[in-house]
Amino acid sequence: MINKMLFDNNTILFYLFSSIAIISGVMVIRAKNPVHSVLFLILVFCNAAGLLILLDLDFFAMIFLVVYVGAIAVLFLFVVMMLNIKMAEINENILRYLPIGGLIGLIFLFEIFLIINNDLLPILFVEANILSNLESHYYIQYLINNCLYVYKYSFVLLTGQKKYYHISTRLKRISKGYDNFCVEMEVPEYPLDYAGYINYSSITNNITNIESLGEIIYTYYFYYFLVASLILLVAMIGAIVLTMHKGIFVKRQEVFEQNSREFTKTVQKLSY
Amino acid sequence: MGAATNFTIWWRPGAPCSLCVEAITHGDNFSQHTGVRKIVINNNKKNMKELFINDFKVIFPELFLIIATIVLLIYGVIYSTKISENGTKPAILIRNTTWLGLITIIITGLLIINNPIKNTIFFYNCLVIDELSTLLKILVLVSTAVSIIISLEYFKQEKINSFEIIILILLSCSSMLLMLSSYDFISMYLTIELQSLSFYVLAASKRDSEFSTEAGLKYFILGAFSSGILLFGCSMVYGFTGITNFEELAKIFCNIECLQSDLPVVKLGILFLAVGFLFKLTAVPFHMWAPDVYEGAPTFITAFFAITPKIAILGLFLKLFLFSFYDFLFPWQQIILICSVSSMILASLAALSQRKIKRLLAYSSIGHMGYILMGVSCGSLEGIQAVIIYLVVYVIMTMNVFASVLSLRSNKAVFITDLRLLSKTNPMLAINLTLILFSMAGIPPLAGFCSKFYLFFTALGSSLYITALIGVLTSVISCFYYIRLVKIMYFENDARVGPSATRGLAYEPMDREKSLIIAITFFFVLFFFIYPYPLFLVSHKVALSFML
Repeated sequence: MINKMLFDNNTILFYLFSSIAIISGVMVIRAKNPVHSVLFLILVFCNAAGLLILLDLDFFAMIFLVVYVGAIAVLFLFVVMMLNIKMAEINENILRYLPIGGLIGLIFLFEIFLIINNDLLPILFVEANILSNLESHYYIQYLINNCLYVYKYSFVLLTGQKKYYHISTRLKRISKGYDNFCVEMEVPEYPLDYAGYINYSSITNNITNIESLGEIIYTYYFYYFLVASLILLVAMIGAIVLTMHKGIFVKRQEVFEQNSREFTKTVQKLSY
Repeated sequence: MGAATNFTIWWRPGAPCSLCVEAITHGDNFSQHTGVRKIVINNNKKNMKELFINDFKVIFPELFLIIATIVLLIYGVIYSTKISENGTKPAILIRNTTWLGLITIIITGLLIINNPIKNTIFFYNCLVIDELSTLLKILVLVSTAVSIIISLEYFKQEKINSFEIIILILLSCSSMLLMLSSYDFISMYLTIELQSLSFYVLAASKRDSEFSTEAGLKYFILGAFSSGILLFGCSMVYGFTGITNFEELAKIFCNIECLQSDLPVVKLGILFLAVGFLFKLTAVPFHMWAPDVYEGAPTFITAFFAITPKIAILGLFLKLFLFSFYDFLFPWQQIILICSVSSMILASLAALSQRKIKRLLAYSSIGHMGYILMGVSCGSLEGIQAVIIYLVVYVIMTMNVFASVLSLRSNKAVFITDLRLLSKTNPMLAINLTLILFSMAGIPPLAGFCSKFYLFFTALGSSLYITALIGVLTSVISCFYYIRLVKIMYFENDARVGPSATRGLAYEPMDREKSLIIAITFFFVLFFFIYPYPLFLVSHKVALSFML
């Protein structure tokens, strides 16, 4: 079972994308040439898009690529090339701050691992083997009742099939573990009926990301859409306020004058 | 899809709506025979319209404010780019835009006061209106109006002619109103972003000043950082509960002690959320940006920063932590207490060595945030009441101080020693400043004393003895720097002190609007102790609205 878990296609791809993303993320900071670090940044974005595809979020992955790589990274490149930054001597300071920064980072990392281990990992993979068949069945019901009390209102819950509609990692892990468990122990399908819930995932239809997003953001959550548009308005006003110069000496567009000018006489050769 | 829109059931958990409940009740039939693979709820346009049929009546004040702001923006854009007949000189729009913006704010305030619906959740569980949000919205509008009024003269003297400043102030005001109404992580984050983005621009709005640009940049980077932390916290809580709505979070956590796991990741998420909020509230470990931004921004913007955003952020903070995360009180109480104590201590010590007026006021506001956080960490009804009373009194005192500072105009009063001989040049203003500073320090009969007294009493009631003791001690220390200002105003006319000491600065006469503001707030601060009951009653009502 564990081997199956480790060498799942998705798992391999996840490790690939995330490790490349982390390495190139480090290289963004470490690269001496700013152009190189922007290129590494593009690599980070591409890998993050890959991770999004693994989560079945195809539309978001595409948007991620279009916006971050297509617009922002290119903008970075422009700025970096225009500014003509010299190769800075970065190496000096790194050793100075490394001990304390590394220590704090390690402590933080350890803390997060501790918390996440505590809450996430030993849910089913370990216990399912220890418990006997009947007991584990009840154990799963118990888990479902306890961990998933949150999802009372959610429609898509555990399923015996291979499809996972849900986004939450915790649920996914449980369902994954349960899936394997199902195969081995032959617990009947649609376990949630036992727990008193309805297995909606088997009876809802599947629609794409972009469809579902569009259906919800223009109707129920139109408020978010409006506030986001206000944010864009503020960004636009801000950019104009901070850059535009007003005054008498600023050259402005004179539409009538420019259109009525005779083009043959605009460029003239000075006579000697 | 034509006239009838088909709504397929959506994966998002939480947010129980009529649609979902309907689906659940109908669902039993489907679960019996699994041959049915699809539930399509036929939801035609009429239903969609009816879903929000009453919501626009509730949101009307904010809607009016936003639409009026956009109309003002269009007006400004048209007339500032229009070329007048006699030349290419752009029109001076700042004065009428300011007054129109002021009228907009006043009308919005009237609409909020006269809103027929006082208590509801609307826009599909995104927003809420309750006693807390109504009171704080009025406070936000009043303080925005005051900070616009006190900057009228500033615009004229500094020859500022960019009407966009007023537009940005109005937009950030509307974002603060929406922030006070927000009832969901997403609406919370969006409004915080809207507010911060307007503030970054406002801080950098004096383009030719290096300080202002630095302030804007610093605010931008640190603000984006804190927003990121906030969002990280939100996503952690969402990831482990599947819920973004405040009320549902409260419902879920209400039986947290019965569970085997006490959800450590949610605790971590709450920690991140608290850090994000404390960044915005300038509590101490996260206060570094505040003095620089206050100093660098133009003074009328500093006034706006000091008075207004704290109300909105604090309202949201109260709602989130004392309503949604109330069952995690003991974990987050420690964080808030540490921040409260350290901000009280550090602000009172750091303000001792400040030489510039605006930096001094920045540290003073950090100290006041420490006191307010002490009230938040009580976690009791009286605590909420004390916080609201303190907040109202603090806002009114800050209005007065900034109106006074803005009226000290000659060739720029920057250092605190520039207040020298104020008692001779403008005795009324000197008396006013003296009493307000006494009130800020907490000298007995004034408003500041009443609020502080109530706060310490509440803290003692919640057995936060050491915190209350530290609060009293730091307020004694902070008396020193407030009274030093009074000493400079009244007694420091000694020629030996400095090069410019032989003469006090001659200040220009104050304009009528500012003098009205100063008079009203002075009256409030002076006579609050005679009849404090209205504020106590209102704040008690607000505190009771937390008890559902």
